[in-house]
Amino acid sequence: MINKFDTIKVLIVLLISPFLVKIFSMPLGIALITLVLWFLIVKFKNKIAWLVFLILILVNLYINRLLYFDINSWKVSFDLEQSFFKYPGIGEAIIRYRQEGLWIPYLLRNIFYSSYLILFSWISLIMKLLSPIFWVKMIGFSGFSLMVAGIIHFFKTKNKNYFMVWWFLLILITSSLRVLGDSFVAIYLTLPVIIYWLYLGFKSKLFENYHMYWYILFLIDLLLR
Amino acid sequence: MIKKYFWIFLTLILILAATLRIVNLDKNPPHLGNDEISIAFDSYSIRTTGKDEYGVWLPLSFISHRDYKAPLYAYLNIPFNFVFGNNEYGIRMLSVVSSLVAILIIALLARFLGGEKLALLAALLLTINPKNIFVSRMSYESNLASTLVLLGVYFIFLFREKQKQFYLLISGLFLGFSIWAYHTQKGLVPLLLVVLPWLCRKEIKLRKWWVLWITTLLIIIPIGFDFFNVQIKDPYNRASSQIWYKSVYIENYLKNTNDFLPKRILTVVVDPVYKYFDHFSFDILFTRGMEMFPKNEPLNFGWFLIFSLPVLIIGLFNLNKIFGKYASWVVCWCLLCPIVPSLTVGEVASVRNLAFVIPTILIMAGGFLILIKKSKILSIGLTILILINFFLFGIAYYVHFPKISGDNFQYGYKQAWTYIKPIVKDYEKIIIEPRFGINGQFVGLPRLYLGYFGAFNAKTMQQRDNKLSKIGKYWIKNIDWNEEIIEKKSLYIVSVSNPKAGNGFGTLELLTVIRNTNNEVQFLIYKTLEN
Repeated sequence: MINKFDTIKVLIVLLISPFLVKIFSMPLGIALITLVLWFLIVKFKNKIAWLVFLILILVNLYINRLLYFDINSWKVSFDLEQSFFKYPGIGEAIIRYRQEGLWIPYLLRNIFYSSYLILFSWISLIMKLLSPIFWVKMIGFSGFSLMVAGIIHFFKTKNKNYFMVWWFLLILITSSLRVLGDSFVAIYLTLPVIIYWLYLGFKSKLFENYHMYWYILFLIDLLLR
Repeated sequence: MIKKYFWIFLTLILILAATLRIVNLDKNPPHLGNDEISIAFDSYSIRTTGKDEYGVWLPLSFISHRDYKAPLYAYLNIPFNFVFGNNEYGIRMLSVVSSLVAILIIALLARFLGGEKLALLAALLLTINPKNIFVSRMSYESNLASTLVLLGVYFIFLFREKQKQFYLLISGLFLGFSIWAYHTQKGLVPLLLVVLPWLCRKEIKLRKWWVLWITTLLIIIPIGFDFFNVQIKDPYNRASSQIWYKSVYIENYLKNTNDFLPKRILTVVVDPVYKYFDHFSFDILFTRGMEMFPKNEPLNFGWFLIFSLPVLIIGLFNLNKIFGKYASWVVCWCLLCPIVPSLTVGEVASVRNLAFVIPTILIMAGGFLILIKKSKILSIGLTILILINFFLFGIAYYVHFPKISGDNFQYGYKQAWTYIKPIVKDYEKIIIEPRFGINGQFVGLPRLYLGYFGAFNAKTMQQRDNKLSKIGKYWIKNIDWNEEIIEKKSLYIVSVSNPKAGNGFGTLELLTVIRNTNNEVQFLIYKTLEN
């Protein structure tokens, strides 16, 4: 059962979060596609999850300005230079390591100092997007605490919809491909999952026990806006 | 078997730790850094004259760069300076030793909390911890301070178990002296002294802790007096300008804002809260917090190896299982550490939050132990990944870091001195520029490098002419070639950004160039022509 009062509270939390501005600045088409994808995965779950996730990844790459579609000429292009795959700074660093790495023979050096090192820079950005401070800055102290309570509640419930975790992680992983991306755009498509976890947060035991403190956090967020 | 051979295993771990920390200690980091050279010179100066660089007799805080450094490192370093002399070993070895002591004590603490396996895991994880290796190879006061905090906390744990006041006395000594070692501990230690007893107030009445509080208080009284004395004498000192509300961001905000008062107060108060959360950023902790290379470079590493993240998570979910009644203490220790660093200006400075590494490693070791018990295959797989991760860190730190970090360590002053040392007696005036870097964008401390490496003794330094920046025949100043009167029998050590212009180098002859670690020219050395 959807609790109307909790739904309103979730909306208020989002309304006072810095995330709000971005929600309204996104093209309507993207919001519609997200809604359709969300509906499909909620309705059919694992049956068509692979297709939903594939489209989700493409849409996310598109809004992160990594993937370009030209419908007229049916051309698709990927901005390698803005991604970790071909970002100039990283490539130059790997070449520099190769020149400095005289501790191994030349042939092995070319293998040891090669493109796989890009992975570390990529992981670093994923880690940033997973960090508490990132989410505090996105959805405020009240939103973050509620989301954490929601996630704990989510993992404690028996029938977990794991597709939500996958949805969330896939967005963060693909958004992290862009080296100098916009933080808000990077997590825009996670919005349905965030809303769900915020909603769960209100139903959690943690919120029940510490709701007075949460209202203080909410007040702080409100004052900071 | 582990119980039987515990001390042999621990000795092997300590040998590994010592090797990782001592090998190439004089070459990596490639040069003594800003704070290192300051402590090094003061330590040498105290040993030979009883006074610091500024001529203050046995100071309780070293003026240094007006940051009034805590004194313990410089004093404890005196025997090392005596044994190893004025070189990198003579200042960095104390840090290595305090790191080894930390590894030994974390093992003892972990054995007390969860047995021999936990002890060896904790010791091993600290041995290969990137942050600990990094700081133990430099003369960081915070490394010494966090070891003293660990010792103090260890005896508090023992007290809770055995309830002997003697442990509190020892703990108070260590915690008190940790305040003598580093500024952060001035906030962290009182927090620990209040929170830890409070958490077990049902088990041990608060009044039973008086020995700990009194001992710590007695130890810190002199340093407390000195602290207030400094605030009166030099209210604009660098140490007090590091408090967050004195940051440029806050000052600009308060100057330009039209926000109503509650919001203004909240914005100022919330800034350190954001920073506190910053200390738990996964990218800082696991992928880039060491800042060895420019941002986004692949070989950046965090304070912990990234493959230790799973065991940290397992540890966090099993705190009660691992540490029993001590779980709340370990967690609080971990959570209290970033509070004081959060109250300072600037980005997350890992050095200020070094004490955080120890309890986190304890939790990781606990997580690892749980994983070993649950799945042998997974634990072996994770061990292999951690070892590969550590190997990559080793390559990054021991091979590539020294080559790129020259500017961060004012590289070149020692090398310039080494070059001119055999010929310096032939010259009457030696002029050295404090600026360095490809565009002369940095300001260094050549007087300290010259003094420490033997150009003049501590007494000459204390008698220097500050107005002229003259120490004996050494002049420290930036040179404007248009105004410079070049005298006979002079040597010039100038930044590469300030080459001598004019036909045929005027009356000067280029002797040599001093190259940075990345092979770019750092300094130019000129001499006056014979006639």
